[in-house]
Amino acid sequence: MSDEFPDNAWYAVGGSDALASGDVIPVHLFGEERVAWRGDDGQSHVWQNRCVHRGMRLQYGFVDGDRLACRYHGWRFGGDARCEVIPAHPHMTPPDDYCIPAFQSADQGGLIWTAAGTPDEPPPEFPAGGEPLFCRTAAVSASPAATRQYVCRLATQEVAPGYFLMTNTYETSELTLAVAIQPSGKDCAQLHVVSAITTDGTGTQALRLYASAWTRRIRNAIEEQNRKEVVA
Amino acid sequence: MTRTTDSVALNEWQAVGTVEEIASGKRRNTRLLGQDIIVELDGDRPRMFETNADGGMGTEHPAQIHYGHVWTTLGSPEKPPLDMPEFQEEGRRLVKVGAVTVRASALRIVENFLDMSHFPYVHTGILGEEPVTEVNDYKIEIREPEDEIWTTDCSFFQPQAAASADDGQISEYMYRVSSPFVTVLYKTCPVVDGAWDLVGIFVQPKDEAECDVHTFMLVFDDTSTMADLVHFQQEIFLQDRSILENQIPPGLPLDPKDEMAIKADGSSMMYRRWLRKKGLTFGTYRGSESSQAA
Amino acid sequence: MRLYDYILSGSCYKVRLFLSMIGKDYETVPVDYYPGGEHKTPEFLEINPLGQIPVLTDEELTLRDAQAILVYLAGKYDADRTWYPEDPRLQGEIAMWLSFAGGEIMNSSAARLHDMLFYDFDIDKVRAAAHAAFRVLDDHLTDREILGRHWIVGENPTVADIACFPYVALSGDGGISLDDYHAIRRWISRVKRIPGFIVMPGIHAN
Repeated sequence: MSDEFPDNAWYAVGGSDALASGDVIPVHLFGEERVAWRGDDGQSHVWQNRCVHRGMRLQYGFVDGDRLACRYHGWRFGGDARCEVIPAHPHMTPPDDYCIPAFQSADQGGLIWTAAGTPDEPPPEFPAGGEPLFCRTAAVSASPAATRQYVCRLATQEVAPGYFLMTNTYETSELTLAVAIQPSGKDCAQLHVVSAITTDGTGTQALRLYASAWTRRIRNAIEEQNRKEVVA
Repeated sequence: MTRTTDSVALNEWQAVGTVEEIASGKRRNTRLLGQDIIVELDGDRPRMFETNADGGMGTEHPAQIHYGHVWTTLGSPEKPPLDMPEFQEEGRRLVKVGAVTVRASALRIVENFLDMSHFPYVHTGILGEEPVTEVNDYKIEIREPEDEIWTTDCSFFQPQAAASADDGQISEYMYRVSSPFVTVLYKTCPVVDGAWDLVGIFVQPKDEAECDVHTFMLVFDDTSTMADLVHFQQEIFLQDRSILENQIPPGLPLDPKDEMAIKADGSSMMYRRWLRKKGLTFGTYRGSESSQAA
Repeated sequence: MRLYDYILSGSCYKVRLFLSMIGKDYETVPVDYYPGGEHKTPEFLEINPLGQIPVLTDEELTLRDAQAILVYLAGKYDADRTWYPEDPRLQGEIAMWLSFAGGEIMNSSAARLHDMLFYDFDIDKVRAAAHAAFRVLDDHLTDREILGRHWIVGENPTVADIACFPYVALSGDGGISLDDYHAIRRWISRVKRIPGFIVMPGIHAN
């Protein structure tokens, strides 16, 4: 946590389309382990990545309808993070306090956001005109600060902490890209890249492929710079 | 890593490998409770030395052979390794499953071994399966003067209870914990009526969150090949390994407030209470960085 | 058909998994790989002079190498020709990824053998090489998803997916996390939904 990545702010953890109903994924934020999952009802959740029973990482669990099940003993947790079923005692109603610590989260502007601390504002909307089109995520082996420093130089605006707007040229048109940096840990970050859909929706695949290649180049450049600085 | 100062852990007999593994030299250089050691067989005689800074043999410690394994200690144990009279029975086959390294606390490993409610989820189609997930009441006691935990009258429906099993059956179990690092289960033998098959783990704690686990089986089974028996048990243990390496914190919490328990966790709660009473700290969660280091 | 097999071998699992998906019966011959070292005995070296598993025998044919076995089984038994299509372009792409599966991805197998069963490898080197390989696969799968494709090659699952799957999915056993590889994790979920999918220790059903 720092001035650049404040304690009380929203951070993107992935594309909304990249977390389908039934998916469970690990989320790292400031070195803390969280888990994100989406139920069959379409609702996404971000919780602590640890079952309260025997400490099993919930990222290895599975979605059962609108519940998340822990892999170890099959305990089922509902959307409100409370334990609803304990298979070892199927007729027992689990105690009220058997629940997973949950974090604020939301699907917004093509991205899934989670809160560090208690932000004053709601999660950022897509900062450009048009519908957001999630392109891809890339993990970066460099500090969030180094990642931010590089991305910031390309950007026209910082919309929210770690969330940058920039323009590129794609074929002969101007392409808007929004890049959200997830400060995963001391030496790692993630880039989540969203672009705007063209008005008639054509060429979205080509556009996303272009943005994907662009993201790879940025990732590789950040890491290359980081390696040089480490050696120096 | 440096040797632990936890005298409770130090004053235990620990298995460090099978006789064959030690004889072959494969386990010559290993670690026990943070201390690098050298283990070898001098003819029939097992010997253990602390490893010096220059890699040579330092202080020697007691070692003995017991149940096909070499046991040693860095301290002065009050009692010998556990007694298993079944080893004298005619027709028994001893299966040595092979040492496996696990990045987990020995205490988490033992506790997992005692647990039945994970059978349908971790050993699906073998030791359990949905929807038959209920864990029936069982008995737990501490037997004196041995100071061992025994759980009895355990039962669970199992689709494939053993390498030799053709069909599903209700398996009956007893579990025994003879030291913080040694546990054995006794289960219905599918082949000989009224007999128990034994499966046990001798957990060698190398560091607070890394162990070598020595698994054995002592069974009545004339039809399965040695490979069949070894593979059956390896499959089960490797399924547990993927869970054990993903429990947070790595150290076992001994305070009941730290993790939420249910009735089926009776053996785990008893094990944690028993460890607390002994004053064991190695491999426990102590709410500080040192206990969470891998 | 007979498969010389070891329950903990990811390479043998490639064959077990594929045989299950194509619905083919076979006889298993368990090899006491560890701790027995049976694959290095003179008797086994008669079957495979490289002393490795899996080995498949089918009538007079004996094949070693999981990738070779997959190609044979697909060609012989997949009537629909989707697992190993006849199109030379797809065969070229599949060959590329089969080579990757038996090459770069095997760094994950080395890390796993080191961490679990005391094999002597430079662990930092093999983990770094595995991560580099996973990044290549993850970038590839990311762009494939953008094109609306769900498999490594072509429109359907092929033997390339089966060959790459085990040591990617088992990477945690060797201390290699998949947390950074989002597209790989989505692909793993898809492989698990293929009818006939079976698990092995270290891989969960869903």
